[in-house]
Amino acid sequence: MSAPGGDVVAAVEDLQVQFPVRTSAGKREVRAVDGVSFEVARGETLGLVGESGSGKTTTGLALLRLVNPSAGTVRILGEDVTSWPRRRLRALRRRVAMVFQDPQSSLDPRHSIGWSIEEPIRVHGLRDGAAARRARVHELLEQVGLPADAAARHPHELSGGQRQRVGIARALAGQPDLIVLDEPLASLDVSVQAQIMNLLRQLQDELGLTYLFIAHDLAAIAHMSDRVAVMTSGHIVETGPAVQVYEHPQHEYTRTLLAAIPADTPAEARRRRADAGQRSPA
Amino acid sequence: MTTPSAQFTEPVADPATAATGDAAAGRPSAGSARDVARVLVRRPLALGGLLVICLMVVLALFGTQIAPNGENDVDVSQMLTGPSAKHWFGTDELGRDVLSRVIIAAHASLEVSVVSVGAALVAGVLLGLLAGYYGRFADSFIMRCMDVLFAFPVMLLAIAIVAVLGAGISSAMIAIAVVYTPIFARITRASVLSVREEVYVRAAVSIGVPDREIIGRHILPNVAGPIIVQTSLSLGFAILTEAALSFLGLGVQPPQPSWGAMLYDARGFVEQAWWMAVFPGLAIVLTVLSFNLVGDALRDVLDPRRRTQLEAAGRP
Amino acid sequence: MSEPVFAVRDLRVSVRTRRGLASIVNGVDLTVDRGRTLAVVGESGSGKSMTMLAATGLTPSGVRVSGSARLLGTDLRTMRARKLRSFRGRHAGFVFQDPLSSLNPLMTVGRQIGEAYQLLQGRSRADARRRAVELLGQVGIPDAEQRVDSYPHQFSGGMRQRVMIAMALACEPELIIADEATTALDVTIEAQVIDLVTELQAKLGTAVIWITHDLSVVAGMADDVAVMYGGRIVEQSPVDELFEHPAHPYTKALLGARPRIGDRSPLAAIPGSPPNPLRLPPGCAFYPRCPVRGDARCATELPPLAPVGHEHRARTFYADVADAVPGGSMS
Repeated sequence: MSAPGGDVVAAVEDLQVQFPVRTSAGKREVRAVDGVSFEVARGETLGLVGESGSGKTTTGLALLRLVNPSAGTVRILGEDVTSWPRRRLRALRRRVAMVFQDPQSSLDPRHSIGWSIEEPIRVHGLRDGAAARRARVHELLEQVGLPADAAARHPHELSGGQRQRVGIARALAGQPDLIVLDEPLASLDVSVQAQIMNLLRQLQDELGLTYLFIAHDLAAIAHMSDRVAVMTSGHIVETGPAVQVYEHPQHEYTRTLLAAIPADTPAEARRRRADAGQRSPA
Repeated sequence: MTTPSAQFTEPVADPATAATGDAAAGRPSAGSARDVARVLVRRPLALGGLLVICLMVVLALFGTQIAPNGENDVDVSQMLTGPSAKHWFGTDELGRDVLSRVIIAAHASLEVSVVSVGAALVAGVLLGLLAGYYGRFADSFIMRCMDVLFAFPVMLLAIAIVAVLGAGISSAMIAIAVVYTPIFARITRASVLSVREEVYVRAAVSIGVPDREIIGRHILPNVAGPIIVQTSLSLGFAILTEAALSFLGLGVQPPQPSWGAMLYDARGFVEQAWWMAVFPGLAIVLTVLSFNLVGDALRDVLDPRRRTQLEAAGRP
Repeated sequence: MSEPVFAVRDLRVSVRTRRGLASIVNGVDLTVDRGRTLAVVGESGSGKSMTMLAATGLTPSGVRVSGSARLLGTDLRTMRARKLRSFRGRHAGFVFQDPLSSLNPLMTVGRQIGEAYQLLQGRSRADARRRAVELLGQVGIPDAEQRVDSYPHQFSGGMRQRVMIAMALACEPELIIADEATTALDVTIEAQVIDLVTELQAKLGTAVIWITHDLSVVAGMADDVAVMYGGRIVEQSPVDELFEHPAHPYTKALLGARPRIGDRSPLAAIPGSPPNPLRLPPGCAFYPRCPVRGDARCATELPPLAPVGHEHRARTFYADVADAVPGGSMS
């Protein structure tokens, strides 16, 4: 479960996150994350894969303390941030940034793109003066492949893929040590997903970024991740190098998940149906 | 399935389109001001309403210069005369020119309305922001206080407050401000509750933006729409409330004219001098109606969902 | 050869917006036969959903539609509203993407399934309830007798989608139109739902139109495929042919842009974004993003939907059917 080599950027141990839920039977506590442990080493991509309700998103949110752990520890760059009070969290959120699933709703519609990208720079005082900040914004736009005049636009003027690039630029603004990407491709068109994946890989190579890549799309996870953690019902059932997990899954659930990956071609699909038909009695 | 509007209102960024100066400076979009202008132009009623409001504002500011006579120019020889070339709106029981009084009274009505709604706006929005954003205890406490105020009929509460403070224009303003604060608080709070859950607010939190900036820069601009609409509607109602208070002798005190006070004076002469009641009454109706028409048009512009419905129906 | 269950001819849809005329669907011809599944593939802005909405008379007001859409030989576009509603309800079933918003949260599923059945066929409530239980069983919901009185929120996402399918089947329609029906579902549930539809189709001989952006879904269940781009069909063929010999550069690019497990080399992404229906290019809609641009006419002339193989047509001047997906083999 520990990351090979390199220094550890994020380490989670026995993390638990609960939410109160009102049911007809009264109030209950639901454990969205129920004892999760993993590490993310500098420069790598850890893919956290699971279906809906597995708790993967909640885990990602816990790394930024956007939800509060009810038990366990979260260590960022060696510091235990689990119980940090609110006023210290700003420092944490400079070190860990997030890219959200829906690029449309993650950008404030009332502000220009430039303003949204500049926000972290301004909040953390990363540049002196408006001109320096603007220059940094342009630098970031260039890094994510957007034209400089995009800064003046508003989110509704951009396409989904462009908006997600903005989300990535905003996450890069503070030069974070870890970027948590929560289903960054799910709201995008297929042709655009490939662009964004390429961009993320390229940025990682250029800037030495570290990613926690949360998704339910197994093919995307396989493409992006060095190591993979498989999650279900609040637990991680398997962790390991991506190639190994995909080729030699150890856990039953992992195998079920991999088996459900749809076939690439019709011929393959027919073959699988024929196999299934042969195995189970008519 | 994607709704039609989602499919086609998403244009690709066109590099050929020049950026506007405002947006380049990073200030919030002024596009909606353009939208407002466009909607008003296409709706004659709303445009008319806006013109009437402008007229009333002019009268309020420059009434004494515009009016042909003073508000208290008593002319005993001209008592209770009907509308004529000399006195377009006739004269009252003291021979005063009704037209001049109606014009000059605009000041009091609008002053009370603007000041009191302004105060209610500031207080209500602030309370609503706090209640909506911080929730729990702050929310419960603030909203229960608002509920208490809501429980009273508007006029009753206003009268009670004026009774405590003593009759007069300032008391009327305070009373109306108190009475209208809860609606602003409630509207703001409701909007804040929904905006607070938006992903971009969570994104701002994830960046480390401090609370006051989140409230000021992310939440407030995005809840402005319903607040603006309510403001225009409340301005109209405030005029009515002021008129009612003055009618009861609790608001604007003589000799300062106000439309409501003029109605009060006219009550004894309704049969013989209908013009004494009708013209101030019309002034009230016209002004309130205008605020409502403009408010409706603003609501159509500023409420994004209503916009989509209207666009689909082909209306401007 | 029997009459197709559903035949759309020259369907065009446009909407006047503040910023101008948006041409959402620009001349679409489709047919689907009894017992066959037609997959309509496209991304956002391709017009795939709008085509079906327009063909079946479900577009909001203010949207301009022209063309014909014959369901069992009768043109839906020329029918009057009330007749259209009953005819459509009787012969076509719909399954939408989000079962949570498509189901009435205040009504039991049994009543909702029974609603359509009852009103259209003049059956009694008892009949409707029986039918609902039967359908719930058919779509694989356990304890149908009890579950028929449950409310939508008491079901999981996958179950709700099964309920939607049950509703769609209530009147034994000849046609089912599913729009991104499995997009919001987990992979395991998606597989189950697709299997279910395939099974039911085999049993009942229903024609199915499956609207999706996901090529693996297409691979798993389609007989024929129509690829849409910029409001037009750009390629049409039987499913095997499409995957083995894609002719249109867009289809090839789509097939090539999918991440493949085991291959971490950079993806062959399609640059740019889907076209803006307010400003469609004069020639081929894909030209601005096309990696090939193999013919001088591409930029200015709209390519016709021309045959490139057996039952295989593509809207391109550069149909190189010999090329498989760039970068490698398919299976």
